[in-house]
Amino acid sequence: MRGRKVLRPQEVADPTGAPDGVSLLSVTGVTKWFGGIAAVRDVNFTVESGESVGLVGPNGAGKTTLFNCICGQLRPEHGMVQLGGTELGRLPTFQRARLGIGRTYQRVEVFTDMTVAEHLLVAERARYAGGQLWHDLCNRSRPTPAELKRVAQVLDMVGVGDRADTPVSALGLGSCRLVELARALVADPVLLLADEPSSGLDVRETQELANVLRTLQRERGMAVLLVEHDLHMVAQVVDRVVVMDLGTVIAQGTFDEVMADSTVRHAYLGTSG
Amino acid sequence: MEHFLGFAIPGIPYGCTYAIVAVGLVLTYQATGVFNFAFGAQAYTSAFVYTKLVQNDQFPIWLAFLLSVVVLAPLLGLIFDRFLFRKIPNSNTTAKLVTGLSLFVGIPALLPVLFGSQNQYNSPSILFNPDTVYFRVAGTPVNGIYLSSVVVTAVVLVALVALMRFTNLGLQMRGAVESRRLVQLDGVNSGRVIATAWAVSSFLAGLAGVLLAPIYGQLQAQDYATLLVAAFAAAAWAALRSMPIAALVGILMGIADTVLQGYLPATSTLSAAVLPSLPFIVLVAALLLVPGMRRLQDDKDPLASVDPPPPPTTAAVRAPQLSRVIRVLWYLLLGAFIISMLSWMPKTWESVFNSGLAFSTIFLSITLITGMGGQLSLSQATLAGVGAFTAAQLANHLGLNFLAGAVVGAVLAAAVAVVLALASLRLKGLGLALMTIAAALFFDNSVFSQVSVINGRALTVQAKWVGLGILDVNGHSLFVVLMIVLVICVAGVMLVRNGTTGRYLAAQRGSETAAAGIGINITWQRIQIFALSGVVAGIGGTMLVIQQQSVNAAQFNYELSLAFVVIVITTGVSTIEGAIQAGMGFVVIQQLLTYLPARFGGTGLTFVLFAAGALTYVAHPEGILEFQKRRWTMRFQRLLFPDDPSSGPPAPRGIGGGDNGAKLPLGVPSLDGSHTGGVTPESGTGLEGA
Repeated sequence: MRGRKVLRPQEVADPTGAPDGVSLLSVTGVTKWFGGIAAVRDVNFTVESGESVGLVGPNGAGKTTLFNCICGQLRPEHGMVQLGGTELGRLPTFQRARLGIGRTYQRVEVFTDMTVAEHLLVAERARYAGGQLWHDLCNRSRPTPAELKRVAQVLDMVGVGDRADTPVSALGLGSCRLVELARALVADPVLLLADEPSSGLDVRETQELANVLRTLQRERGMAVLLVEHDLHMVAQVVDRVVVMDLGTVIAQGTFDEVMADSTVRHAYLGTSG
Repeated sequence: MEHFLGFAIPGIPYGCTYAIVAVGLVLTYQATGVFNFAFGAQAYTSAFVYTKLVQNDQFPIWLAFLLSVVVLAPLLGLIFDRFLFRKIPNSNTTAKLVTGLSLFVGIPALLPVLFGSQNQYNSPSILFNPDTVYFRVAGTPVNGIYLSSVVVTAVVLVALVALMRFTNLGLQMRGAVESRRLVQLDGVNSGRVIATAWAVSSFLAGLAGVLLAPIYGQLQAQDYATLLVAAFAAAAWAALRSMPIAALVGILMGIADTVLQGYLPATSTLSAAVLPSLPFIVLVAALLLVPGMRRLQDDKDPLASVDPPPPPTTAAVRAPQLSRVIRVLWYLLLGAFIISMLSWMPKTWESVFNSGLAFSTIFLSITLITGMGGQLSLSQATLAGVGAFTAAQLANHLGLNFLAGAVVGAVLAAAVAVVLALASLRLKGLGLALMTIAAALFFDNSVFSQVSVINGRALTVQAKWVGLGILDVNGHSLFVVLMIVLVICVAGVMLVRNGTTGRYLAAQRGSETAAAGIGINITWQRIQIFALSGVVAGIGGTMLVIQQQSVNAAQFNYELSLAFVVIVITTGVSTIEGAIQAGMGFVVIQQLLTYLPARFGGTGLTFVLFAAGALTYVAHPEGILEFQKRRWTMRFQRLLFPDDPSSGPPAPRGIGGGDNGAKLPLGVPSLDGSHTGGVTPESGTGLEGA
């Protein structure tokens, strides 16, 4: 990675308009070391436009580290991440987000001073690099009717529309996860990285979340890369599964295929099949 | 070689003292997670009491040492731990910094109030006789001061390294720094472990203070502050982890200081610029080059999630009806204030309030950088000074009008702030605080002293350079100009806070990771808010020198930078009204104290009062004044509007606190017309229209 040209957003091809045969997301040979430990080692896989891929594996497998490498929060020592056929190189996280990579987090990350609706308003603006100091000083920064309408729609879609004006600090963990998801979705991402989104949700909420993800994928063509321990949900949402263990990919295929794989059963389920 | 040793050996006592303080800082940080800004003040306290007991009260040296270092110093540490730092969650870096800063500002100001402001001279040396030359090294005499420093430092270092590495207590200390609550779950009495660490490190502070006292002829708190900065630098090179490295760097700094003094021509510009700045240069280099200093913020308490979120501001919990009533009352008060200032206000009090308006403008810059930006900058008085000196130099050199100079000064202050932001891009929390304090000290020692004179005479503020009859003692133009400037700055800050930039900054304060993840350019936002705070501080600085009709380095020294932060935090750093209350409160309290006996006058007791207020930051991070405002507002609200849903008991808050927590009446305009949350029909931004 070192020494490569730094890409700018305008230099990266429109991910939604990627040429035929080019994957939306391509992870090639990505390796990330923490001290002497390879958290991720030579990982390769792709995600196609509109595809839903599950990234599963036991704790410590390197799934979240890989997410961080894709988002730019960590720089891999080796390998490359491409979006729409263009290498992201050393693009910082915020520029990757503006290219259409949305993200939710394993450990919930909300803006504690804000209401639910404000989370979405700020995300909507940030995605399109809106907001200039000069506009603020001229009092031209108020949310537009179109922005407000979109925020309301997304909140209703994930089921927290009735809590738009509630500060997130007054919400429970499950609701905060839904706010995180809504915040990612309002920016209309081409690729959503969802890191254990069902953690903290009850069975009904998990089912609703799965439905939302599936609907978004089918109706909007949004690709989803899902890290999840709830295999029932994974089976409902994803088209394909990538299994990691100890930083490496040990299997790829449909959900049924990988669950039948003895290596996966040994690593992930702790049984030899 | 003999020449070199002749310069180097006198630096050893300084170096040893730096080493002891640096090791004490590392020990406190390693064992408690607190970077103890009060260390210099503790050292000064012990030295002050030790010297007073020996010189004024004729105590024997051993008894004075026992009382000031062995008893008083650890006792102070235990008090700080028990009543202040123990209440701060491990992960709350800002609270730890604010508490340390409050002690740093408050203790040296409190001592003259308690013991009178008589000067202390000629502190005696411990262990060895300072007047006896025990032996010579390369021809350089080694007296009792040198010998005491070296022997004590060696013993302390060996004992501490052994304590941390080879004892169970040391192991427990290292565990407690990560999370005292977590080690408690393992059956360790973390309170006792941390109290021991505080007692030991405070003993070191006292020891350093008493060791250093004989070297200085007269005891001055300022010298101990410089000592602390040198120790900061040594501790930073050790990434706040390695005691031997901290000690080594401390000793080398002491030696480097005297060697440079010896070799550089005493009257050269290089000597004048480099020597006073050496500790700051070393500190900045450490902050930029030592990777460990950039990772300090990554230390997180695994149990941090059990801490409650910060409380809402008064404006967020007020019923709309009460807000309207309060707004009307404030407008009436403002009107009465303006009419009074333009009519019957005595000149003394008019001057006091004018000064308050200038300080309020400077304090608004702290609202921007700390309240909105979430960055603890300790150089706001410096930025104000950059603006003021620029305007004054332009007036004295070119005859440029001060108001025009204020604009140029604001731009230059913004440029300095941007350089500071760029230099500290990778730093947060403690690292940023140290970088900004280093900048403040650098400007104090190497810049302001140079630019406060012109052709050998002090800069002046003359009526012909200010114009508009502003300095006419019989007119009110000064008040009108200061008021207009403050209103413009307040309006600007409000627009930024309520605009997209304000929302981006609020997002960053909540979670930088998530903010970057939705496309916010954290770096750019940080540069913008630094620049904006520089502009406001620069304008405020120029207004201050116009009001005071004088310009000198003492008006903008680094101690004021620290005190300003403490003052604004006391009144509420997250609100615009907090800055104005701070500005007015600062000058009004000083004026009221002039009616008391002389020892209570000046800024001393004012600093003590505000420092005491800031010590409540742990319990009331919104500011003690803001807390009391919310408390009384809710009482009135229950009395006047009992049916309003927001008048009920406080709702359970916090993640995990349940989804059924009461909805707060967000979107209620505050005093300044801003909205602290939510979107309402009144603001035209409500979701109900969607």
